[in-house]
Amino acid sequence: MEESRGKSSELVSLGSWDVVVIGAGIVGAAVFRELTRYHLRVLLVDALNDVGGEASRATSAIIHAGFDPEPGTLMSQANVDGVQLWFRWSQELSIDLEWNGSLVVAFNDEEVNEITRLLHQGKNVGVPVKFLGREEVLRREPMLNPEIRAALYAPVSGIIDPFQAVVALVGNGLKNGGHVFLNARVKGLERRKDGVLVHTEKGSIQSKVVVNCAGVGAHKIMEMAGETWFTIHPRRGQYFVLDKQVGHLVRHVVFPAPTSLGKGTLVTRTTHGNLLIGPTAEDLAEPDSSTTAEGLRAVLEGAKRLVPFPFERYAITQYAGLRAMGSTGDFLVAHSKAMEGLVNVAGIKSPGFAAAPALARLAVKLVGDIVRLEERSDFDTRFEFPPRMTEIPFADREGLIFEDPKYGHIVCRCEMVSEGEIVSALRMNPPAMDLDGIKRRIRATSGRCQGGFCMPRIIDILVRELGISPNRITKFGGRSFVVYGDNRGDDQ
Amino acid sequence: MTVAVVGGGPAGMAAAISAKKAGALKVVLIERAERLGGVLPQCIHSGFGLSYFGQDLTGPEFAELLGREVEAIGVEVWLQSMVTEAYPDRSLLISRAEGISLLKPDAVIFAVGARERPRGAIAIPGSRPAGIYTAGTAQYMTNIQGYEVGKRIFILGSGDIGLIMARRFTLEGAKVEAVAELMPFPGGLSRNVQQCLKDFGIPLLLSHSVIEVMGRERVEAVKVAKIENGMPVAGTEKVYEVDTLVLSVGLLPEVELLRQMGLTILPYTNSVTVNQFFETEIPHVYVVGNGAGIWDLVDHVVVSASTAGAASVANWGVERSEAFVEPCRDVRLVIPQRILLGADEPPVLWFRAGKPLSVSKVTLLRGTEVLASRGYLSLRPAEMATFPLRKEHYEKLKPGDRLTLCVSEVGSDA
Repeated sequence: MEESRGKSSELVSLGSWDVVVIGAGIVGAAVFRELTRYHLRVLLVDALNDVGGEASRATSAIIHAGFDPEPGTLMSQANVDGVQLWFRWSQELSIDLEWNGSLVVAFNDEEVNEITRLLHQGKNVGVPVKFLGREEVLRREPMLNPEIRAALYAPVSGIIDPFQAVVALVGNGLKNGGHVFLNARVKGLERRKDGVLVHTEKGSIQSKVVVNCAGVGAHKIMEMAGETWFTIHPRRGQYFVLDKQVGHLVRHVVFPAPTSLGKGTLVTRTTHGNLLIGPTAEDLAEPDSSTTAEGLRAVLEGAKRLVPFPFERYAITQYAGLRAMGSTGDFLVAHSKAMEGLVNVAGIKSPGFAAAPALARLAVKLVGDIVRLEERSDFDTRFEFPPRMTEIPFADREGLIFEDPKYGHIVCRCEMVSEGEIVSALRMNPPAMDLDGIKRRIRATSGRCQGGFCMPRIIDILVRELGISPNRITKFGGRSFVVYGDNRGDDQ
Repeated sequence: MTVAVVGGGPAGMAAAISAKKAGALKVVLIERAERLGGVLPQCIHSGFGLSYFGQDLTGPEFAELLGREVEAIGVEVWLQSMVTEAYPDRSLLISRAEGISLLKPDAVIFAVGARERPRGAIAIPGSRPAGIYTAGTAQYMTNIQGYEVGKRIFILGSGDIGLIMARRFTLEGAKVEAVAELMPFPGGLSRNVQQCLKDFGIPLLLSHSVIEVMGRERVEAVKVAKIENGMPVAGTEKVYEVDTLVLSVGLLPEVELLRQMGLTILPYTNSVTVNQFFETEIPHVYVVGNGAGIWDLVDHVVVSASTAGAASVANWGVERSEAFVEPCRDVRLVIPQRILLGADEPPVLWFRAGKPLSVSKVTLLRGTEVLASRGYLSLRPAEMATFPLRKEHYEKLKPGDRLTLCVSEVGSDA
């Protein structure tokens, strides 16, 4: 069923499935992958043109250690368990995950009390944590504001490549027989005798079980099932991404002491080597992932309090992401109270990335209440990305170029991405279908010039490889068209 | 000896030609694109070559003329070849369709050009739809690829590429709603303000900027406001319904390879320091063109790059002692920042004013001592001016001298 990989639709709409997973963010991708361990027909459905296109592409991409959530909550348990699972998953799926540790810094007595409380809380839930004095903190992080008093150090926390993580999980699920259906926003759910009918923009899908991982829209899916007790509002977080030349300003993930609004504005390196500062925490009535002047100013102020540094000079881009704030304050993983066959995984905000593997395991258990889970003997735990030229030895680069000269042709100079790698992103599974899909898979256009040089050239590669006309090329699907057409008049 | 020139734009071609002329046995010109010329092939407007070739040429014509010389003189050209790493010992790792090569030339001239500052560099708030392009990218898409970039366009920044593109879009049938400029004066050359905006009735909004991008999938509108002290003035906001935002908000030298070599980047040129032969602090490593600091005219780039090409051969093994020059008071940048002493010819200092000035005096100071001064009828930030040092002044310089180049407006009467 080639069509299910995002190119088109029609065939899938008539299909009948054991499990349909709604939402291809980090949680949905993890659920999808875990379900393909069993003899089940699994379909992952998403509204967008690519997987990981909403909240999961716009987070801090931190694997939080787990000392922060209140003990006894699902959030706490899933965070702690998730960290353990990420150890194995990142290796199985070749996802970049660096355990660089985190520091929560305190500037005054009140904040010292707060990190002391977190220290005890961490010890209670079994998370390794240490209290560090000022001198040790500054020895580790010389660029930090010298006014700090102390810090809570959590060695087992890390930074992850959030784009790779989603692609690898989905890719692994595809490899194990799962299917993906994109550009199919869910419009309604209907209970049928033998399961649930999922109505999408592209037709209806019959499934025995539906797992709702719809992120900031998960409550809307619940509403479709007649379930209104749980609501979600979006909390916006704005970020700056900075040039790699300042990527190593800090080694650890550096947080301020948390407040009621969350973990605060952090400063961290990314797995790609950039510096990331943010987020804000703005409660919104409606989803809106625009950045604002005030928000961006607040990010700079927050970051400068931790590290006095002219961040704005090195800015290469800004973005905002939406966190799904559930009305219970905790994560929800449960059978629907209103519709049999629906499993809700909702209200997944930070530390959702860290918790995703554990949440997926829980969701699978609930799926097992409805359909029989019979493990496949041939489940392949591994996923590999196509080779990156900059990450392999010179001799291997030579070998790739010999096989395909496109690997010798560098298209994105900021991130050093060859034409061969761009083509590989279009041919891997799940394939990139648009400019952002290429960016998330192999970094082209994500560097300091933000695609100024390579983007037009990538359009030509897309035209050639996808066999579509230039005015159908999009930035991220839908009507995000990059050009209107060909002014030589030989195209339209 | 072997000279490697990295970058086949006008600066690289000129440097390669002059290195060959100066007697280099082998000159390799390494270009990442599929053709020589750098940005010239996409600059299909005229106005190039007036001072260098003595005729009014288009960008492609200028590139063609230089390209013919490159070929005629026997420069070895490697196309679709990218230097991916540069090491402090001058060796270069090059990626090509033929494989990976390591080249260790006797001299390296970096002519790597500049990149455009993207939206993120100036942190314009709002949504992140398709339809936001830097002016040079839009120019490539329009002139080289033949794509229709937008139908209703707003341009932020009055740099030359932005002005040129305002006219180009109009000629292609698009509607350019306006050009906004954060500064109270235009960023580009006066002739471009006249010929590209005024002649087409395109409004230029000085002291204005885009304060928000709107639109989910494709740009739907931009919000523009008057800016005072870096902040939007309440009540001056205006929404322009456009499908495209084009940015011409400055160029930054491409310095990654220079940084890899261990050279320090100056904050005010965003590049490394060079002497009058465009040699960096590492002997036999040169940087020319926009890689050394942003130039105004390709003619100037070609002249200056030729100096480096010749020097890369002739200067081989010269003992060096230097004086240092820094910009001060309304001078935005000076090239060179180091003056090699004892050369046959006195150096020419290139500089840019920080704001538009009428009759002005430019002074080269050593501490408070005036070493040399010259008068100028007018100075504009968009234009590179020269300050040729006379032989008697050059000879007065001592090793380690710290000089400043200052400008002061004498009066507003021309």
